[in-house]
Amino acid sequence: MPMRTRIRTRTRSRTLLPFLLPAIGLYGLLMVYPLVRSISLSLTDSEGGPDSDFIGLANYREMLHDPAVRPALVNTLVFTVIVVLAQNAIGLALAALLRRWGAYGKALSVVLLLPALLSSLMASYIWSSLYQQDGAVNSLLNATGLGSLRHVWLGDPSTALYAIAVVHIWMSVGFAAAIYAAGFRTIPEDVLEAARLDGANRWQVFRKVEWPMLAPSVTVAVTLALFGCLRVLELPLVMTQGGPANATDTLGLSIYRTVFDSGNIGYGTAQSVLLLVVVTVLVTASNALLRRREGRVQ
Amino acid sequence: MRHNKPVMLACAVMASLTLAACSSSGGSKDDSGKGGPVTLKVIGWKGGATATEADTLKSINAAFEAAHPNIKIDYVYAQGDTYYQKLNAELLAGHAEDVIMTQPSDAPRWAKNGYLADLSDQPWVADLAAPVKPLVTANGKVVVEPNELAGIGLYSNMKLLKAAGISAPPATWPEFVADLKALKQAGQPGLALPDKSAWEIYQAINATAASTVFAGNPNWSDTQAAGKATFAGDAGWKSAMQRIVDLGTQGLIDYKAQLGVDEWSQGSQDFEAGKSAFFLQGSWAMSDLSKGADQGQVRFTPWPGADDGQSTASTAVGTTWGINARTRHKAEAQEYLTFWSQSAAMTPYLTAESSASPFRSIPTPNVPGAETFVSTVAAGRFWVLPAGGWAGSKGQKAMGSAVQSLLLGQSSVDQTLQAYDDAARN
Amino acid sequence: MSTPSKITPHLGGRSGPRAPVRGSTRSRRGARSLPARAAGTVLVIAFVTPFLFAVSTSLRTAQDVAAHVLALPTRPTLANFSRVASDIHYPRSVLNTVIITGGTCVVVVVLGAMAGYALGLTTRGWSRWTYRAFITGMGVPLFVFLTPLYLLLRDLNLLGTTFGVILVYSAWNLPVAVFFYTSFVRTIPGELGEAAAIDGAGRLRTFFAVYFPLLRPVTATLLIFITIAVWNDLMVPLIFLQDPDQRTVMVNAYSLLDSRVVRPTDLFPAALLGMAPLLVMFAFFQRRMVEGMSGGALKG
Repeated sequence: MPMRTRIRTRTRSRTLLPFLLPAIGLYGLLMVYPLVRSISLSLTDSEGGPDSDFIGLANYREMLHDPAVRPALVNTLVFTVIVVLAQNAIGLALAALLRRWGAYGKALSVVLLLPALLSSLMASYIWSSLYQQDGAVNSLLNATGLGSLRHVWLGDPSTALYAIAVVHIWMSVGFAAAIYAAGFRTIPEDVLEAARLDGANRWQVFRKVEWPMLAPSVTVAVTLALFGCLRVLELPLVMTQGGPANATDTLGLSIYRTVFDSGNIGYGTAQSVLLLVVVTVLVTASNALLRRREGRVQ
Repeated sequence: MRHNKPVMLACAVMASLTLAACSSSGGSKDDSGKGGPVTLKVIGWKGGATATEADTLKSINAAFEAAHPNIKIDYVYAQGDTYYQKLNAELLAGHAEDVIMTQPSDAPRWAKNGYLADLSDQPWVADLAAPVKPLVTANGKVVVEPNELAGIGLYSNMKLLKAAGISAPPATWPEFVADLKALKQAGQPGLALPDKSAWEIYQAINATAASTVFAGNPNWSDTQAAGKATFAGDAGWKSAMQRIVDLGTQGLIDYKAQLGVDEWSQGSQDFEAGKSAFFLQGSWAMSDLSKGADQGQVRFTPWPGADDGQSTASTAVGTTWGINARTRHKAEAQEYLTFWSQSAAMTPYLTAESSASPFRSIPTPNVPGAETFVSTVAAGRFWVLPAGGWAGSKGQKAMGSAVQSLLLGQSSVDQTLQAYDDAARN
Repeated sequence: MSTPSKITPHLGGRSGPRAPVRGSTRSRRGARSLPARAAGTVLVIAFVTPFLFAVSTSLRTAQDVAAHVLALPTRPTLANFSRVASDIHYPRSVLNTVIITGGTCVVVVVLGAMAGYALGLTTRGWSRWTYRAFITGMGVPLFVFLTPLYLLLRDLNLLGTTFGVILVYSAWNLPVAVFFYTSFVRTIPGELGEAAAIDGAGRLRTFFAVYFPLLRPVTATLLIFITIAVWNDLMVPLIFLQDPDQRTVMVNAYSLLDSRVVRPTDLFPAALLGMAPLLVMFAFFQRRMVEGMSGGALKG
C-alpha cells in the first residue's frame, strides 16, 4: 500500500502543477513583485520622487528610536488581542445558541451579518456620531438610568481604544458566528447522539465532543480575525485620528500617515515591513498552535 | 448538468472579462496639438464641502472659460484623505492633473521630487506680498501660487455675548478671561476648543503666541530655524501655553470633553447651533458659521493673545496652485494661474473664504463680521504661520499630540515645549 | 497538517463534510421558549440599532436632525435619499461596481479553487512554502505597495481600465481563497479523487466533477467575503480609475462626503445606499449557501 501511494503522490504533483500556475502567476505579478519593490524602497530615503538614495537599514534603526512607533505597536497588539478573543468567544456562543432555533435562528444569524456589509469607513462615521458626548450611546445610558457610566468615549484615553474595539467586534462577530455555525454543521449527529446517550449534559457534550471537533473552524476564525485586526486603519483614522495623545494610534495608521501625510515613502514602507513581520509571526505561531491542536484532538 | 460545468464556468469568465474590457474607456483622452480646444485638468480639495465653496469655484472656472474660449476646465474634487492617496500615486507615475492644489507644506517636497513646474518667471510673482513670498518658494524658485492668506482667529457669537452683558469681542487676553467668567456666571455657553484632530488647541497656542512672541519678535521663526532660539527657552511661548492651560484649571473650559469633539465637523456645527459662544477656526469657515441659527451675529476677530493694546493676527497661506511639471498644457496652465492672480478670481474667492489677499495689488474684500480682522491685517499687525508648522506635518502631529497630553495632565508645560523642540529638530 | 485519511475514521464512513440530519427534537427545543425569544430580540436590537438610527435620520430633514439628534421622523421624507442618489450617480456607479465585483469573484473562485485543490492534495515541501507565501499576503494592507503597483499597471497599460482593477482585486483576494480552499480540500477524503481516477477521469474532470461541487459551501462563504471587501473598497478604484464614468459607488459616496464637515443627512443615506445592493446580493447568496449544504447532505 505505501509504495503505491508514494508513486501516486509523485505523479500527482506533476499533474497538479498546472492548477497552481495561474494563481501563482497573478499573485506573483500583482502582489509579490510590488511588495518586493516596496521592501527595497524601505532601504532608501525615497519620498516618492526620482532621486532616492540607498540608506541601508537606517530607516529600521530610526524606527527603533521613534517614540511614536512603540505606542502604535502596543496599541495594535492590545486591540488585536481584545478583539480576536471577544469576537471569537461571542461568535461561538452565538453560533451555539442560534443553531437550536431553527428558522428563527437562521434569520438571526443573517441579522448578525448586517454590520459586516458596511464599509469600515462608513461604520466609523456612524459610530463617531453615536459616541459623541450628547450622542446616542450616552443618551441611552441616561435613559436607562446608567447615567453615571457616561464618558467622552472617543476623547478619554482610557476608553477610546475599547470604544473602537467595540465597533470592530460589532462588524465582525457575524462572520465569526457564520464560520462556527458551518463548523457545528460538520459535526455528525450520530456522534452527538452517542454522547447524549452516555448521559452527558449539554455543557459536557460541548466541551468533550463539539469543541474539539470545532478546531478547524477555530483556526480559520482566529486567523482571519488576526489579519483583520492587525492592520486596522480606517477606524482609528476616522474616529480618533490616533488620539487622544496617541492612545489609539495603530501601526496601520502610523504607516498611512507616514506615507501619505509626510510623503516619506522609505520610512513608511519600513514600518509596513515591521507590520508584515508582526503579522507573519503572530499568524504563523497561532496557526501552528491551532493546527497542532487540530491534529491532537482529532 | 455536471459535464456542462466547466463550459459554464469558462463562459462566465469570458463574459465578465469581456464586459470589463468593453466598459473600460481606455483612460484619459489625449488632446495634443494646438488649434483644438484644450481641456485643462485641475484637482483640488476645495469645492465640495459646502455649497458656497462649490458654487464659488464653479463660477470662477466658468469666468475663466468665458475669458479663454479655447480652454475647458475639468475640475476634479477630491476631499481630504483621498486627495493625497490619489495624488501621490499619480504624481509618481506622471499622470497627475495639470493644475494641482497644493498645501504650502508639501510644496518643498514636491518641488524637490520634480513634480512642480518653476513659476519664478510668472507675471504675478512680483505682486506677491512680502511675508508670503518665502512660503511659496522652494530652493530659491517660486513653485506655487498662493490663493489666500487665511486667518486663524476667534469666532464670537454676539447674541450669546450680549446676553451676558458683553458688547464686543475681546481684544486682549484679560478681556477674554473676564468675558469667559461673565458668560459662565450668566449661564451661557463659553469657549469651545474641540481638539480631536490635535489641530485646534495647537493653533490656539500659536495664535496666542502671535501676540506674546511674534509681535515683539517677528523673525523668531528664522532665528529658531537657524538654531539660535528654542521653544523651551522662550518666555513668550511659555506664557502662551500656560494661558491656555490656565483656562482649564480656572474651570472655564473642560478640556477632557473637548478632546473628544472633532474641530472640523462637530465643533463647527455646535457653534452654528449656538452651543458655544467662542470658537477658534480659520477664516474660511466664516461663510459657513455665519449661516447658522444666529445669522449676522457672528464676528471673526484676531485671537486675543495680547496683554494689552491690540492683538496680532495669526494667518497662514491656505490653498495654492501648482503646475504639474509634466503637463502637456503648460501655457494654458500658466494662463489659469495668471487668471487666479486677478480680481476676477481673487475677489469672489477671498470673499467666500473670508481671507486676506496675498497680492499687493488686490485688496482684501471686506466681509461683514470680519472687519476687525481685515483692518488688523491691513495695518500690518499679522504674522504668517510657517508652512507645515516648524516641523513638517509629522512634527506638527507630534506637537499636537504633546498638547493633548499636556491638557490631559500627563505632562507639564516645560515638557511640552521640550517636545516641540524635539519635533522641530527631527 | 492533517491528511484526509485521519478524518475518515471519525466520520464513520465515506463521506465529505455533511449537514447533520435535523431531527424534529432539535427544532422543537428552544425556538419557541420565551427566554430564547427575548434574548434573540435583545440581540437583534443591539446589532440593528445603528442601522435603525441611520434609517431614521435619513428620513428627516437636516434642520430637524441638528435640533434633536435622537428623535424619530415626524414627517418622513425621501428627499435625502433621492438627492444623495443623484449626487453619487447611483445607477451607473452600481453597475460599475457590480462588474468589478463580479469579475473579481469569478477570477478568484476559479484560480483559488484550482490552487487550493493543488495545494490541498500535496504535502511536499514546495507546496507548504507556496501556501505560506499566499497566506502572508493576507496581512499586508494594500496601500503599502500601492505606488509600485500603480507603476506596474501603468507599464502594463492597464491603468484606467476596469480589467486592471479586477486583476488587482483578484490578486489581493487570492490568499483568502487559497487559505479557505486548501483547508477544505484537506478535509475531503482522498478516496473520492482516487475513485474518480479509477473511473478514468482526467485531472481536470476530477476537479470539476468531484471536488468543486463539494467546495460549494466554501465558495459561497468566500463569495460573500470577497463581495463585501471589494464592494466597500475605496482606494483601488479611486486611484486606478480616472474616468468619472467608471467610478464605483464608494468613490462617489466619499467624494460627496467631506470628513471635516460631516452632515448626517448626507452620510446616512449614502451609507445605506452603498449598502443596499449588497443586502440584495447577500439575501440571494444566503439561500444558495443553505442549498449547497443540504445538497451535500443528500449526496452522502
